[in-house]
Amino acid sequence: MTDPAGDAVDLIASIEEPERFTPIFDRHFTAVHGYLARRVGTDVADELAAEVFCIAFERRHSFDLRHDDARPWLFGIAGRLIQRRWRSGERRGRAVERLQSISTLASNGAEVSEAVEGEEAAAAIAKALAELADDDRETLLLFAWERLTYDQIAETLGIPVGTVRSRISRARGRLRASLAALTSSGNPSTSPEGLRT
Amino acid sequence: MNDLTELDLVTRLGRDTDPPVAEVRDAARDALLRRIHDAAATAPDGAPAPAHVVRLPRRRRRALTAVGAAAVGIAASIVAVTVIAGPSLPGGLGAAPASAEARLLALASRVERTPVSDRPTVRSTLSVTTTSTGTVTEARCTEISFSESDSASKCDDGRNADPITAFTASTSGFNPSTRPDDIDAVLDRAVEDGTGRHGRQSVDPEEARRSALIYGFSQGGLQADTRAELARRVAAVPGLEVEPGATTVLGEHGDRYTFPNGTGTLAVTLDPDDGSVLEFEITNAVEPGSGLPARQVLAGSRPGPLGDLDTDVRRLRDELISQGAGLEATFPPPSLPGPSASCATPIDPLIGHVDAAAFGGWVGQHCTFSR
Repeated sequence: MTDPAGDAVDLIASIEEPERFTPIFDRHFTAVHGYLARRVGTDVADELAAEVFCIAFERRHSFDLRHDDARPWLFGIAGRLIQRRWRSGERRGRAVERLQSISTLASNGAEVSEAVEGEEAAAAIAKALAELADDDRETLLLFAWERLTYDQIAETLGIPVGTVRSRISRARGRLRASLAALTSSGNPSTSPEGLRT
Repeated sequence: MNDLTELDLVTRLGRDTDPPVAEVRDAARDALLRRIHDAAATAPDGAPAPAHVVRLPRRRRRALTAVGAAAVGIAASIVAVTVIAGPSLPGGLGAAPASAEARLLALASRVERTPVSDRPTVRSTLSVTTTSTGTVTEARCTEISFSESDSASKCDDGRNADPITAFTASTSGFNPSTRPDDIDAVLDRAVEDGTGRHGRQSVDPEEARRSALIYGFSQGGLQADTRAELARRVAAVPGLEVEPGATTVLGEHGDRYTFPNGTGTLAVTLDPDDGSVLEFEITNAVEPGSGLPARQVLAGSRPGPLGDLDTDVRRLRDELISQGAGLEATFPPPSLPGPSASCATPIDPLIGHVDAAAFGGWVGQHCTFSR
């Protein structure tokens, strides 16, 4: 689905030949839509994904050609679009609600409950995620959901790599603590021994 | 839940969102295409183009060609060139739609993903040297690259040729499995070779290194990622400028990158599609009347496919290859510590002992590397 090969080439070419931007869309639309859908739901993702690419096209001069893969750049644009909506007050409640709702999270994948062997563990993780600081949560999700490297996350968020590391470390620590608390409360399906750190 | 970390759990929570439905994707694509169309239909000065004109320039994408292989011959023919300094290039630099750095970084990405072809190719070259006295010397050559390690050339040195610098058969050691992949080692060696062979120890090391960068593009046997790194290093040179669509003395068109070096400039014209070297240009600040080179240009046509081999060329190639094993034992030269890769050093191939007259005027190069 994601073949970043040629992103830098197409982006530099698109400055003179605008139609060369279309391969960027073809390669990354699904990834960008998925990024948005996981954060604000499919309906809003349907709206915003198109906007992401129109903005990216207008700002194609700003792409840092030292990077081959355009996804971090596109995710950065998508993230700012979400924040703009949040600031306007339209969607923030909906987004947070989404993260707090295990049923909504579970709908992301039919196998979730089965995979984690217990809805309570999934609920605990979802709740813990929702309680993380926004920055920590987004950094962790770029790593876990979008499969970006630390360098790419730094590029997406415009922060140093060291900050990425510390945010992810802090977020993981809090999630582990949440799961440990669930275990200590007696849930049999969540064994701390089963958790690798 | 054995062996699941908290990260695994988070990952599973977020995976497998439904892909966008076709209608959503198509609508988004249409919106983008409208935006692209609007941009393409806008004239360069920002004024809208006439309604019936849709500007969608489509440049031809040339087939990727043998990059390093075809450049080996050029490297040999600039054996005696040591960069000095000089005035700026004649003619102004055209307005660049993208910075020189951006273009080179994009080219680097392209080169990195393009393995060096090992298909035989042929091309013509033209070298022009103009001295401070106005004397012009031209040499036209036909160069054949059999592979990244073997090449042959036949030249007409033309008017005012200096018999001492007439092309000589050269041979050295090349083993593709041990070719250099460390860019700093390649550059250091090129600098050392240049200063050692030509007695130019007074050349500023940075100046010599920048010239090695430019010549590096012509080096054969370099891996794609090493060549890409060369482009990135050039992109970082202060004062770099680009003239897109520049014309070489052979009529080829490419991107000409120019940067100041010492008190003068260096220029290399590259095929924007695959990084092939189309032309070097060096201008030297020299004393009037000294007779030293004031401007040196070495241009090459884009490589084309090689047809049937001339009998003399075939014999020459066999002869050179047969010498390769013995010559390899002489590397590295005592003056060069560490790994040696003679064919990665365009200004210092080991001189071989092939009598060009015995091969119908063809001379050749067979390379191996020793570490």
